[in-house]
Amino acid sequence: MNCQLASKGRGAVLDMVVDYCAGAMDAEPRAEFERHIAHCDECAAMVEAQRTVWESLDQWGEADVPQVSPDFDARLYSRIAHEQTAPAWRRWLNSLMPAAPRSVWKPAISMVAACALLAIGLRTAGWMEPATVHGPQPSQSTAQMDGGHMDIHGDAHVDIEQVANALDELDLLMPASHGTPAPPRVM
Amino acid sequence: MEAVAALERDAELMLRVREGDDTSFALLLERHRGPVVHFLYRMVQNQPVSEELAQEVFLRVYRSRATYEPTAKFTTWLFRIATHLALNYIRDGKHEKRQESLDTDLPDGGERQVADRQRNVEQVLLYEVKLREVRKAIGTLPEKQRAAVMMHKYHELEYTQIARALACSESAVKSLLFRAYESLRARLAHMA
Repeated sequence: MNCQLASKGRGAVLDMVVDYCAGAMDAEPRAEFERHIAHCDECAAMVEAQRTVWESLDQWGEADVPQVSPDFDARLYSRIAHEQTAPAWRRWLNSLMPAAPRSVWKPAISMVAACALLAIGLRTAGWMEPATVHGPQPSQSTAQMDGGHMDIHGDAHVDIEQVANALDELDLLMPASHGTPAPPRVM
Repeated sequence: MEAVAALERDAELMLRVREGDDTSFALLLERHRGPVVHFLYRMVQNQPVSEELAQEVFLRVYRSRATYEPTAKFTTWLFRIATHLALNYIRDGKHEKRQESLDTDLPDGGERQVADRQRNVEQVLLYEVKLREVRKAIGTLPEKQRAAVMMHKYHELEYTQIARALACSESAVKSLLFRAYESLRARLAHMA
């Protein structure tokens, strides 16, 4: 195995193979890489394998993707118009949050409802005394508070995945960390 | 150079939409409707679903017009929304029941387009078999790998754009692509 690019690491070589087959290399590095694969059987084999994948994926070209329905725009404008004529309370509610769709609100509402039920249940059982609740001790599990008087694994169930999804949705609409536009708001 | 011009044009159009110019929104829709629907179609492999998700993408773009700032390529943002919706849909598990069969007629009743209508029957059959295998191979990729490949191969997005769309680092994108192409190599090697 005499690959002169081996010192760059396998990942870097594979990046080159992918970029080469995708036609994403500039002229100079491309020429250099072509000189290399002319003498390196290992890289030449990788290029051949990647080229096979690339050409296979070409099978699923634009001609084999259905055309967009002719009424696509009409349906979209209808939805936009419907949103703009929504009741004031709904527009106000939407304005409190970024353009979160029902898929965000639904789990969020479920979560709030679950938390409310949990709080009511704990109060009814006399487990939760707001004035005496202390933060978890360093040695305690975060699932327990005040000597084990609060156990989130008890009666109420909070779907962690729903919470994660809701946070993902909100993150999508918060562009600052990813350089995307500012959080959208419903008009 | 062309890409820069396109970026400026999209951003400029979106800024006009922000000022209340709905004609500019129509132009953006015209420019990006096809790529967004096709990306989503390749992700979920179901036309009605892909269109429904694409509607949601453009609806979100429209909703966000008032606060839009051109801090990134418009297409990056668009694909980020589209990817997010597609991944959520796939994770819901609904797509498995609704993936279109290649034998299924398209909703408009039209035939699936075949690139070269001059092919003979045998060539068409071979083409269909290969297409089916490619779709199946893509469909078996984990959803993030699938999204990365779709953006890389069919929409020619740069690594930085794919990274932003998937909310991960560039090196993570390269890793996703590497793993995806490895899987595809194994599955499609016989098509050489």
